[in-house]
Amino acid sequence: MFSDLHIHLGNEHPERLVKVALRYGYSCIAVIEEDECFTGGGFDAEVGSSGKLSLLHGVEIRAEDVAELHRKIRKYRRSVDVLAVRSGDDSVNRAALKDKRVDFLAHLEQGDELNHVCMRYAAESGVAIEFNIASIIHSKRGARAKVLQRMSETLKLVRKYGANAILTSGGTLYDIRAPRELIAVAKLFGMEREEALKAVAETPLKVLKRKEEKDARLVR
Amino acid sequence: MTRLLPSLRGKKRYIVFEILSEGEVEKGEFLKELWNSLYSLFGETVASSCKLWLIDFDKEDDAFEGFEVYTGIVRCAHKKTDEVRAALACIPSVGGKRISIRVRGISGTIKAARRKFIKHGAVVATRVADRGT
Repeated sequence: MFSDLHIHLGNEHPERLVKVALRYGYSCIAVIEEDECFTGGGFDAEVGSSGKLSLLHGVEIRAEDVAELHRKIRKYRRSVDVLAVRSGDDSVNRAALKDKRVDFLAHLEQGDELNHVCMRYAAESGVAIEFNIASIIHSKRGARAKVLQRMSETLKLVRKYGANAILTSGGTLYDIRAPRELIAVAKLFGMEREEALKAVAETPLKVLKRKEEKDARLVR
Repeated sequence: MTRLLPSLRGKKRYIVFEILSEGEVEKGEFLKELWNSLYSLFGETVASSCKLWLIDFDKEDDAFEGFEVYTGIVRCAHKKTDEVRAALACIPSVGGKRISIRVRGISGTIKAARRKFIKHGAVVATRVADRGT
């Protein structure tokens, strides 16, 4: 049971994403749209044969301040399966990691570095920290070194506070990588094999399950 | 020149990979990208200890969902498979064509590599994927 919770559609047909994900051994993928160009999904209807694979739809929120973050979370939470927040300045990160409606914090290579306070919030609320492999694949030299450095430092805190970490491919169709390739790349910033395996298999499902439980509570 | 005894040669692994590409991929360009990826991720010292060698590189007859499919085998030192796998995964494009690479499997001999992962490629590949890591 492998999941990739961060794939962008780009200009591709969702059917192709599904076919590639199935070929690569995934059983769950999430197509994430940025909030500025949110279309509302409806991919399931366009995809014929997604029987073996659950195709989720999500949004990636970018917020300048906490008020905007809360407003956007309220706006999107009910209409999407996966809600991600793009890492921004420290106050936004803290607010996002505190908020149980958020599924994961994306693009940790951008914005302010996550510190111990953020990580403690993340561990309490169960909001996952995303390690985005496309940011490693598409950067070079100095930029890549910075991304890897940021990731290995964040990983240290993730371990210390026991926060949830997930591995995602994080790009468009051609950036999808099979689970074992993600694990091999994750080794570059110090993730052990077992940890990485958990980050593509168990943890994403755990993160999604949080939402289902919450929904069930809301219905009652 | 006398050949080195088999027991004195380094142990090897054969990594079978497949490429999904949006266009034609040339063997030479691919190899250049692979070395570049290895150098930039690990530097020259580790790259040298990988003992990388491209054995096969072929285009598959059947396209997949509009992708051109290529398969290949690289030889590497038996303890460097993770490094080579990471280097393969970190190639975003070859000759301006975007690609996605997946390792189908790793084997100890060329013969077994071809038998297991090339001949009945697609079928075997999904089985390996099901089995997980």
